[in-house]
Amino acid sequence: MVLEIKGLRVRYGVGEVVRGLDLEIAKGECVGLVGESGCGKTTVGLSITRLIPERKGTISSGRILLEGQDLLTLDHESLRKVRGKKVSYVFQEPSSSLNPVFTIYEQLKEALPGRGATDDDAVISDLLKSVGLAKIAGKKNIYPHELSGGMQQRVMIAMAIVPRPDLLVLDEPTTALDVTVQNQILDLIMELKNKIGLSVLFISHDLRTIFRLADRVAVMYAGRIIEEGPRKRIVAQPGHPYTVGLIDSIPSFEHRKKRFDAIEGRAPLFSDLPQGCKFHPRCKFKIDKCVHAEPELEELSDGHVSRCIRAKGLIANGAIKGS
Amino acid sequence: MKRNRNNMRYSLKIWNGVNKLMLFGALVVIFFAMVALFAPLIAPYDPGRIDIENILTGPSPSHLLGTDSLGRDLFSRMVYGARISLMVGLIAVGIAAVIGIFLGAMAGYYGKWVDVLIMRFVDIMLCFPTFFLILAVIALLEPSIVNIMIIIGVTSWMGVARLIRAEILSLKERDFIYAEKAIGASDFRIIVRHLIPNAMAPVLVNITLGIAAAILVESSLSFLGIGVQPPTPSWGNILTEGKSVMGAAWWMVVFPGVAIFITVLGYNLLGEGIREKLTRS
Amino acid sequence: MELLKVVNLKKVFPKTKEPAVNGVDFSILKGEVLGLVGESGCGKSTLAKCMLRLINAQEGNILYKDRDLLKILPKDMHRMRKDLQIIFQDPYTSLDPRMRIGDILEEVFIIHHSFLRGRRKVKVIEILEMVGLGETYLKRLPSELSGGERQRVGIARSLATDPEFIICDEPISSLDISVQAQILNLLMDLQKRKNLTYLFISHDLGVIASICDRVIVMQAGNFVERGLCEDIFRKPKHDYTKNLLKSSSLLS
Repeated sequence: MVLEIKGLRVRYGVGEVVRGLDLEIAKGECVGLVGESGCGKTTVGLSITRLIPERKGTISSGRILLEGQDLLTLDHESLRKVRGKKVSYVFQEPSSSLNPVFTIYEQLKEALPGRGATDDDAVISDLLKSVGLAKIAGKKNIYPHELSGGMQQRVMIAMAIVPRPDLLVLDEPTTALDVTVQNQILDLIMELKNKIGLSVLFISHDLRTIFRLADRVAVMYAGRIIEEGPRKRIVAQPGHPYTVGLIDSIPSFEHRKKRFDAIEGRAPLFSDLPQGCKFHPRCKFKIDKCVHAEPELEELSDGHVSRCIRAKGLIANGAIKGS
Repeated sequence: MKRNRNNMRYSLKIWNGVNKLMLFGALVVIFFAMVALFAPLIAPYDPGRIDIENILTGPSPSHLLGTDSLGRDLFSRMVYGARISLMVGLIAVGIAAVIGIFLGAMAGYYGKWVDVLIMRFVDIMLCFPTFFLILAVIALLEPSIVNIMIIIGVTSWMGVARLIRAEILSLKERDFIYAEKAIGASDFRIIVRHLIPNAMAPVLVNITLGIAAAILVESSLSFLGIGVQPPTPSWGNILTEGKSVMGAAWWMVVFPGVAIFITVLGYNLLGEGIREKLTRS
Repeated sequence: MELLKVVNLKKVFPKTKEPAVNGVDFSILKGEVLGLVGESGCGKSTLAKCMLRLINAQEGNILYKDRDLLKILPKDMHRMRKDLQIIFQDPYTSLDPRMRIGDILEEVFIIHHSFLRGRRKVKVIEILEMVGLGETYLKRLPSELSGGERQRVGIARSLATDPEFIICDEPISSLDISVQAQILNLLMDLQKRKNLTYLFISHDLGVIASICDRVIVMQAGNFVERGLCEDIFRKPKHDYTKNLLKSSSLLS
């Protein structure tokens, strides 16, 4: 395994936002972490290299193993070597991640591992070509504002893959972009993943992009994973009422002029989580037992788990199914 | 119950956010405001009561801060002086705020030639050396408290106008302003009920700092003898009287000087504190 | 029946040379949902704002009830505003952060002198209930509400004048998926119940497909294709439409 997260717990002022989370990413695998805003998914990504600002919150327990090395016990200096080298990030807003006063060329050069080598220019040109920016390869005086959002995001991806990281964390990398550009960026990530065998943690609220890219999907709700499994399995047969609700909420032509089978209510606040299954107040299938104890992850089939005590029964009688 | 606890935690947080200097500033401001408000209760003597027997006596139990060259109780005069100084500060800044907010809002909201006209006027006003402008105007008019307040007010509104205009320029592109237009709200309602209240935060800082500046200007004018006219006491004219007897009666200059210094410092610290809080959130 | 007709509408912002809306024509039929789809910066929101005169267009006519909205007196426009409403994209910027929900809604009645003082509050509660909120929201500030709740308030505000036409300008694109479905349901229910006409603006073809009768595709200030929803989705003619469709079908 490239990455193993075990029993991760993160506490913010408002409460515990990651409440015991396990996640594994194999070499060359893309794991999609999906959930709605405020479910804790971004915090998971930031926790990997302890990027959570101290005034915001702290990791209270758990282990994060990168190639077997526990990142949570590392001292500051060693951790710095992991950040941006073994684990790199691409965030939602490329324009705020690039420094407006330096050229693209200078910023890429900064990211190169052996700085000052004579073949820097050639390396940067190749790099730009590899992320589909052949147009600006070789041009040294281009500033971030001269590029479109999609091109800026390509630069961010270039910077992220330069050090050949063990793990690439993508946090909503396409959310700020137009649909057509979104597609190109997803294609690029797919291509890079296959070509250089990147391991990717892809974090998004958008089930559609997750389904497009991820080999394995983990659905997060109120700080925990509530369903996880191979993408194909989850698309064909989701195993948690929440996942089903999310899938049913995707608008499409096939769904014309029909009311959506929407999930009612709103996600719980971390300061005020319900007893038992955290989803039960919004769940159509809730029974008395759901209110009492939070269910454990239960295996539905090989590698497919769900945190719902009724999952097997609901699947068997066809109450929840894929679309 | 739960809600209550949250509220308490929240108020504690606000308390943590207040820095010590800002707290000191706030206390100074409140202290002098109280002194000014309750002057008749605090002052042991009538500030105008002349006592030939006790001319220029130093601080003593019967005259806490001593007496002046006419035997008037300095402490009582200082207390009433606080009234004058603060009143001049507040009203002058009030005038400046009204003018500044009105012109700034017009310029920001209507833009185009209205904006050009108002902002060029602001530039022109800023070109004048304000203090000499005040001197010149006072020389023409007679020096009185009312004139002083008006003249300080009409020469110090430019900062407020600029701030309000800048805020409104960005606020008016927000969707809630478009929403107001869509439901048919008049320009007046949009400006007064929605834009100005949302633009007030930085102006508040400016106003607080402005009060300090106005108090200083008033003191300076009174010190030069063209501000508040004796026998009405103000910190500035007490200082003037003290100047001529400085060798014999140190208390006549030290106490009004310290009062001006601390008050101005208090308003400045409070203003800076508010500014810091606003930029952080 | 034609409810609203836009003729040769043109808007150029002073700082750019290219027109944001380049002389477009279209009409909206009573009771239909007309979709307007395009990517960011194509001019769709500018068009919406011009139609309600929230910003001024340079050229064109907007015909509503035999009157040209671009030419009528302010007094008449004020009356027309009751019929023509808009819901904004970002519920975080479309509500005055300093006003309580009850006051935001009551203001609509005050502006249009609808109802006596005592009746207003009852009406506000009625409208809140219509969008799935209730009396408990009256005293709350926007910052205390979730995105979905705020958007419901935005919808309530547009319903308060009892309009017949509403422009929905990307009303769900800044909301979470599960909440998106709730809001779409609400908009569909309201349309049916009150026989509303919508101009539904979105960058998401899936959303357009699920709610609209007819669709207009916009690119760089121009309309490149228009037609019945079925035709656009089954037999797109323009390359840009095809590209959009391909991009979004890959995502489902």
